[in-house]
Amino acid sequence: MTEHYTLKAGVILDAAIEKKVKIIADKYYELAKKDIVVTSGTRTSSSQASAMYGKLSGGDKLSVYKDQVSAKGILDTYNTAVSSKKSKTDIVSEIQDKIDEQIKNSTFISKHLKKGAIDIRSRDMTESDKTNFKKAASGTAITIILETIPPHFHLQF
Amino acid sequence: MALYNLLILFLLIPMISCSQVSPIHLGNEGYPESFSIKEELIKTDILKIHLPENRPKNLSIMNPSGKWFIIQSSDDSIEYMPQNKFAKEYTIEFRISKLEGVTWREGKKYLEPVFTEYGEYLIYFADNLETEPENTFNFSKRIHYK
Repeated sequence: MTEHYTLKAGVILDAAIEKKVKIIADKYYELAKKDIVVTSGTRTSSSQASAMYGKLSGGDKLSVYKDQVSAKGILDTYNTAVSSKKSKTDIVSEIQDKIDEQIKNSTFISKHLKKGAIDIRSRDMTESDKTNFKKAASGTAITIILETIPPHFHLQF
Repeated sequence: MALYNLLILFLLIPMISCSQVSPIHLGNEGYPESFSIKEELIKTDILKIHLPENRPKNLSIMNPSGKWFIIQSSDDSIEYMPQNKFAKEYTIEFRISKLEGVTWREGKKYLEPVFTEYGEYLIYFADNLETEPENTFNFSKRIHYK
């Protein structure tokens, strides 16, 4: 049977989440006669730490993060490690430890650190496609958010 | 007096820079240490972007109306320049009056000029252009086109 979804390069979903994506994709295909593209899945603290290291080493102050308290915690960890002249590997590892500590306290610097978070391509959808997608996803996803910066649907299962 | 002021200035510069996030010096000759762009531009200008060696893979721009244009995305085979060049240039330059990007309107893909409206533009570099900024390696800056 033809699948009505594809995963963008590098996106990995666990079996339970992929089953839900399939349900949504089939419903959306019935309504819009179009397939969906999953653009992001659940993220590990290790890859989150690498991404944040990249920003910090490029001089970024993490102002883009909605949770500025958690962002400050990571910024302080980075600055302390840099002052101690630690290697890149050690700095990334310390940032990861900080993110893991935050997760233990139910604080997520990115929504994708929570199990069951995925993003779906919206840029190629018409307004009517977007309405159909929301219909298709409701009942399977707990939250459906149409993000605009940059454009995509964020779903939480 | 002028010499005294100059001396104070030299003492102040390192103090100011220490209060910022300290980018790591990777020891890569020629690369800027941080991401930077001139913040005000006019039609005849060249948008000049300085990038550190470790930079995101893709670039898109959001215009004042919230419309997005993809300039570089190897995943989507949209390339302003070859990806290996995009990944290595110290400084990337775009002629404001000529720059075109890929955009979608009502589900259809178009290649259109980017700078057609005056106001604030978001220059957004990211490894993934279709997820929240919190979830991907990115650099961004708002610039004013007048």
